[in-house]
Amino acid sequence: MSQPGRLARGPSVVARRRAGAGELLVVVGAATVLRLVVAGAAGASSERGAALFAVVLLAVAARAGWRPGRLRPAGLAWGLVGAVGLVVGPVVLHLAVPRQQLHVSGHGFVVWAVVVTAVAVAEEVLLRGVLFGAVEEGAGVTAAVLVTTVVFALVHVPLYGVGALPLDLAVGLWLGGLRVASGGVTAPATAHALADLAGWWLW
Amino acid sequence: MAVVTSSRRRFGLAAMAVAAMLLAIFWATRGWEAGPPIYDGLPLQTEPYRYLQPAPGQATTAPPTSGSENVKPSNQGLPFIANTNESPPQAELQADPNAIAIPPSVPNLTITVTPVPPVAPIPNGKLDGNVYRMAITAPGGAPIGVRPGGHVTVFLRGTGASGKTVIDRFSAGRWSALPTVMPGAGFHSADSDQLADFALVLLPDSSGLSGGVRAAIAVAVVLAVIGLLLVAVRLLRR
Repeated sequence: MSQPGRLARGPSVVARRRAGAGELLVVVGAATVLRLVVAGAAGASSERGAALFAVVLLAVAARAGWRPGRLRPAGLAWGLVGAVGLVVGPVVLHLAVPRQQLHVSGHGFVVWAVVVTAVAVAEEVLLRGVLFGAVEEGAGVTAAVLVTTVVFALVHVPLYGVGALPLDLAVGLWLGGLRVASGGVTAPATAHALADLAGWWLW
Repeated sequence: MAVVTSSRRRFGLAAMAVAAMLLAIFWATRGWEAGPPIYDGLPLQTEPYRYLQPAPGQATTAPPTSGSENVKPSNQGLPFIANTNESPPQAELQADPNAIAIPPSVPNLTITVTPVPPVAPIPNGKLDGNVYRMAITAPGGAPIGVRPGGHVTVFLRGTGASGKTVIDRFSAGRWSALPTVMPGAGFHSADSDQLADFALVLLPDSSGLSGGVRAAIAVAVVLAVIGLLLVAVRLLRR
């Protein structure tokens, strides 16, 4: 029986993308373990572990063919809207419920901000950039949103425990929708980074 | 940025709408306990833990602080909060005014969080930090308790030691573990129907791996299984 020429030449683009998605998931899991092992007793508060995590994710994204594009105002604007959506709840709580400020000085802010931004951007580039594209190509946009949402929530379980899973699923869905609506990774990366940085004043 | 068709934009916005509803529900119903507003798990700089009784050979630290707040019984409907003065605090007590059995004649209350030596050995593990006595008193020092059916919320910061931890309460002459959650990295909280002494306890763990690393390994295994399934699908379709 003759086969279509496309298959006769080897795996289709779709098949290769699926394999890429599988490999990406393995790498994301390994990077998560590496982060916690390097962090040691410091756990989630380890800047070294977080920075290494970001570098690994960006390296994997680069190896998968991702290259930074030109920043477009529309993507940044979508990102600002996305950030507002993520921080509005904590802001309202911050104003309504008295709570002690956990940070009394700006000591360490610059390093903290750089690492937080790097981790947020790296996660978005790999999850809602490379992985999203790979899953979408093989299984459609709905699957891409769902898979990246679940993976996003799972990689945060070791940091915050299962209790944070519902919130991170919602956040992942928000960022996935932002990725689809804006057409690129700039918007979720901007929203994610800004929401994380807002934690300095909100937490 | 790729061209976005109207149907894709509608789909994306619909996903965002669902997510917004979920976020609103979480924040409205669980407050700060819904989860950390820092989504990437990098807490702010914390000062080293201050021990009341440093272990032999342990580096000497500044003495731990106490916290004290004077409030009106109504507190304008806002929760009673008192915490120690480290950055971030090592211990905090939060209580809804309606959860406290306040006598009608009491004009104001004092909420205190004080590090104290353990009154008895911890039976279920190793003390991870200090024991904190949390109390609410009337003028003159008369203790005020929790209303039946009510509870207060205790927050304790860990020392950074690896392992599974739980908040213990000393009441009725013995320590007992409370259901404990971790609302933020390094922080633990538990609801208690009594004001008492509280301690964060490091449970015995034979694996030698921290809870975070074990969870990370579990996540990696789940992702690897999903990834291998995707690879298998690809191979079967060849």
